[in-house]
Amino acid sequence: MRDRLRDQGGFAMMAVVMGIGALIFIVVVIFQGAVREYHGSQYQRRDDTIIAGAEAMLERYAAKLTIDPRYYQNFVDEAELPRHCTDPASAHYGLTVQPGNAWYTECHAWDYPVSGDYFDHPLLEGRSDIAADDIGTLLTVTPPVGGDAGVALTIVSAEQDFGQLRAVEAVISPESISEFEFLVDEDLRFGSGADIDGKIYVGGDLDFDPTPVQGVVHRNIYAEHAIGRRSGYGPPLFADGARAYDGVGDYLDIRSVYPDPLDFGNFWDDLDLIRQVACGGGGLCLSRSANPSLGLTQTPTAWKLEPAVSGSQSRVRVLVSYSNTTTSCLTAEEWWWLNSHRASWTPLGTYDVPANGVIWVDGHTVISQPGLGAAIGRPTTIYAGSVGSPKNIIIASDITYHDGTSGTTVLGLIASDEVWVNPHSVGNDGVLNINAAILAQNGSFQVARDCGTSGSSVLPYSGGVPTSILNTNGSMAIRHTGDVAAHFGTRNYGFDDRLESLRPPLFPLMGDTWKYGNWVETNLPCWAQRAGCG
Amino acid sequence: MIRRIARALRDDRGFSLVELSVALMLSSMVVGTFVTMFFSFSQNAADVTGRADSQEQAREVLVEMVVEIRQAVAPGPNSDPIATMTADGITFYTTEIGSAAPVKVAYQRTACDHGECELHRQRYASNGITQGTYTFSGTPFEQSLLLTGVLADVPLFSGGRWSGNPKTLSTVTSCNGTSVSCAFPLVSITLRSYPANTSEGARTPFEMQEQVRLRNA
Repeated sequence: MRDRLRDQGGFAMMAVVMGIGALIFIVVVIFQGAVREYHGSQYQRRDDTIIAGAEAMLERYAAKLTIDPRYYQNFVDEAELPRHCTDPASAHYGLTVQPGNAWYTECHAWDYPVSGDYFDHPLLEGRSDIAADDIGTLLTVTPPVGGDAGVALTIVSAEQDFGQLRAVEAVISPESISEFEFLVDEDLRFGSGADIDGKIYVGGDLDFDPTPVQGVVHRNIYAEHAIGRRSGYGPPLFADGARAYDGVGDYLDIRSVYPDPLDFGNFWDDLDLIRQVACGGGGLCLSRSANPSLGLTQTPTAWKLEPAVSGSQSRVRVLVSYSNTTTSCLTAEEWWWLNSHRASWTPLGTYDVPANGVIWVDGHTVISQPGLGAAIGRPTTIYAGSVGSPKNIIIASDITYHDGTSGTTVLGLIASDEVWVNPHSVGNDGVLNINAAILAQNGSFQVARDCGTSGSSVLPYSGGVPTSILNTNGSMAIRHTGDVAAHFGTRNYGFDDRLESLRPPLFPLMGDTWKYGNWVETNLPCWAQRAGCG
Repeated sequence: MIRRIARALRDDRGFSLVELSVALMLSSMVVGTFVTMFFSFSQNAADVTGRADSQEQAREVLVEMVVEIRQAVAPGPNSDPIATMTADGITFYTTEIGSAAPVKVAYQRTACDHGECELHRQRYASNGITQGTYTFSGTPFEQSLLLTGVLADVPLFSGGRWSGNPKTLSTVTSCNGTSVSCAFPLVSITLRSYPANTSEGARTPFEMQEQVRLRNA
């Protein structure tokens, strides 16, 4: 050592040692930067993956709701925390159901008092040899409350090896065609002074008579062709920030909102689902062939439904008729439009409106009779006919909601063919009130004339002008426009704005999937925090 | 051992001037080379670190932007979540945790000089509801300079929607909600920026891209 120190080669050695030290320092600095960058990118990658996992589980739940709109009421999802019934009216009050099992369908309130294990969906597993890549999820479900049809979900997604968690809240709700005040497959024209509160969609032209009072719209309007171009007509005034979308370029591009025109043909699948649920899923199935337990020995030519509320129970009295009358100007089908009130009816029975609110009738369906009225006590949809055998709905009385229009009761009236108003339904007061979301899948909403679709009307006129009043409160989806103006001097088309978020049971949807609302990434809920919330 | 040390101490022979000069010259060259290498490596390390820091900062901005746009909400029943969009800016309404009312957020690429710009964000609080639609203050409650050195050579924002049959993705370059609809479900963000705190030679731009699906649109 002493010799080496004395040797001049020691300088070189020191220089080499210093050089190596400098190199090591530089390498360490660069390596630290690279490691930091790597960890940053890995953290980001996991963060992105975790949020994607939460989104995937949201999509999965939405898909389940599309198939079974009451999925949340029927099942505790595999990724859900153990669900505890807190509904005092339920026979299962205080009981808990583990994830992946059937729920107590009559229990409408619940909470999640105990924690659970994260659910590892197979599609959210990472590489088989890296457990840390697996995404686990846990969720809680809040059923629709008040006037909202949406199911609220809170989903926590985690890569537990790294302790990274993210939480997403969203409301999944159906985008029903009942959200439109008017959904018409062809041209639609409004008279002077129309004041429209709901959205309008027309498959052709949309026009408003500007004389003497220009119409007003309070919600967006959509026309596949033009708005206000027809001679003698014009556009409406736009209130509350309402905007117009058309297909000819005068306004915003309708394709920016609806990539494809709405097609009534797309509703048939949803309508068939109503039939299936009514006859095989706990609904009320009014069909001789599909429901032998009704005890019918021959097939009725028409059915009459008299909805009423007894105490707190919503019921429907069902009658059948075997009349098959024709006249010189009425076919057997047309006869019902005018004469449902004086047909011979045989009582079949009185039934509770089912919990799912779905009623299917396989024949022409008359809603009550003049003077009796129809009181709806819970969310209900009545569907008449099918794609292979289209049938009409005949409105023969006022239709009202037992709890008014501030509750959650809404009615869907769906005719696979057309919706007709029996002119005798307008009583001595000269007023007809209809509260419902209406869909005439094959035709229009019309008032019957003396000879079905021709001749005069039995409704009163004064000096050639009709004097009766029609009040509708709901929504109207019709393939063709009718001639209601020829029969009612005053037509007050009101929009039940609850329908913007409240859907009659299984009413057809705009598309295949449910939509999200209030999608927001949020703080971890207490049950997902290791230390809780104190 | 003691004798050896004593002999070494007695040996007073030194280096000659020539030897010393050559040794100094050689060692100076060696030290100079290493010093140069050290500073070069240090600069490279600083450049790498500066670039990484800039990318991390840009990524944080991008992540925040993505979260805000992803959960954008319409302020009223007749509105869209996005109010306006150009290649340089986007204004939209988004949810804020703990608040029922949305906030209006505007990102703007501005103050450009020789192709390099600043990215600013302004946030406006809601000041009420008129006919079912939230209204917003004209004065931002927060103004932030998020990034500098942002390049203006590519659109920072663009929109996308699917249309036709079969569906194809078409690009929306700008919208104002009045003559051009802002109803689209996708927003693309392309952020090109020079890194800050790097040497001139290492100043090459980096690029980050995100495509955001508006969940509430």
